[in-house]
Amino acid sequence: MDISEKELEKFIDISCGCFEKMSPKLRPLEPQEPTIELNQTTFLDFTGIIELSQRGRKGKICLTMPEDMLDEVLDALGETQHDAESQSDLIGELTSIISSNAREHFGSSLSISVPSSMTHMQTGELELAPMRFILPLKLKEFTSYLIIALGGQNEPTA
Amino acid sequence: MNPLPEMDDEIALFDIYEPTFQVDDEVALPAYHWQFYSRIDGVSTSWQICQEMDFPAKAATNALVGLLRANAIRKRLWTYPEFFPAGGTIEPEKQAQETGNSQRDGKTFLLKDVIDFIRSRSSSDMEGKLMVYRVFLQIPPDLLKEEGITSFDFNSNHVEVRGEKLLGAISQATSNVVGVPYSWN
Repeated sequence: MDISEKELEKFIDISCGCFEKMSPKLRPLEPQEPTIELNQTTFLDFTGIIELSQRGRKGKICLTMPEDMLDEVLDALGETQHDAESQSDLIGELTSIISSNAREHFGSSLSISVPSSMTHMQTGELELAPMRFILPLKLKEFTSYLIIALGGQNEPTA
Repeated sequence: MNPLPEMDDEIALFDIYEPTFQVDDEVALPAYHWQFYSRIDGVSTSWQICQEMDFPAKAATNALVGLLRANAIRKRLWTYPEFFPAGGTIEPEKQAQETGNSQRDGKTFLLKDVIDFIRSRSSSDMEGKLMVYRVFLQIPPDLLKEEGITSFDFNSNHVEVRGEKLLGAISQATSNVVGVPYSWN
């Protein structure tokens, strides 16, 4: 699919700001040095997935986070329960914020799905386009990853 | 081979420059300035670039002046520990050879050079990196795998690209995304 750099950068900005949208107590995620990877991505404990499509081409944007980072956010939100269900709900909520903000920004030019979430065990079933832009996002000592996986010229679907 | 530069040119031509990646969209310069800019990599002296491109010394000096005024490049300087790491001497020209810039024949190039070329076309750091991603999206993954390229970053990638099909695919992809084909000659 052919999303411009500026559009992808907007997705990154929206993703970095998703914590702040949940609570003003939380600071934005800080982007670190990205890498481009071919078919090799490490998923952390919980992953939120947003599917994109444009003129028949598809892609995915995933936010994958470690438990500790999700617990830090749950703490900041005043949540005392830190079990797998709360962590999974939180990653779902974060990706919902990203997708609704993106929908607001892109309008009808880009189709953005309702997000889904997966545990680390389930990510083995996740189908992603081979070429991935991996951006580490830091909050204090914790690191999550924003994974942009768009279908290339030779992959109409992904 | 170019004639040796005039004395007043040597001041600039034996220096090393690097892109600032902060070029204003409004900046307009003659094409040969941008052609020269596309080879500035932070390790090759301007004189080496002149020789590689068969560029007249005077034109290179003009391009350097234009690019400096446009804030597109800055002179690269070294501190003592950077220039003499752990007591050893690394001369800029030697450093350039280690990164392959002085040893390339017409059929190979460094992945880093392609990445720098693409990034130099964007107005911000992140936008440049995303532009690199968009270029590589257009390259069949199998061609990259054949060269052993499965992962790369944006700063220190000195992998040498040799496969002729991959060279062609990169050139075509840069042309499609950036508007200018990457040329390794």
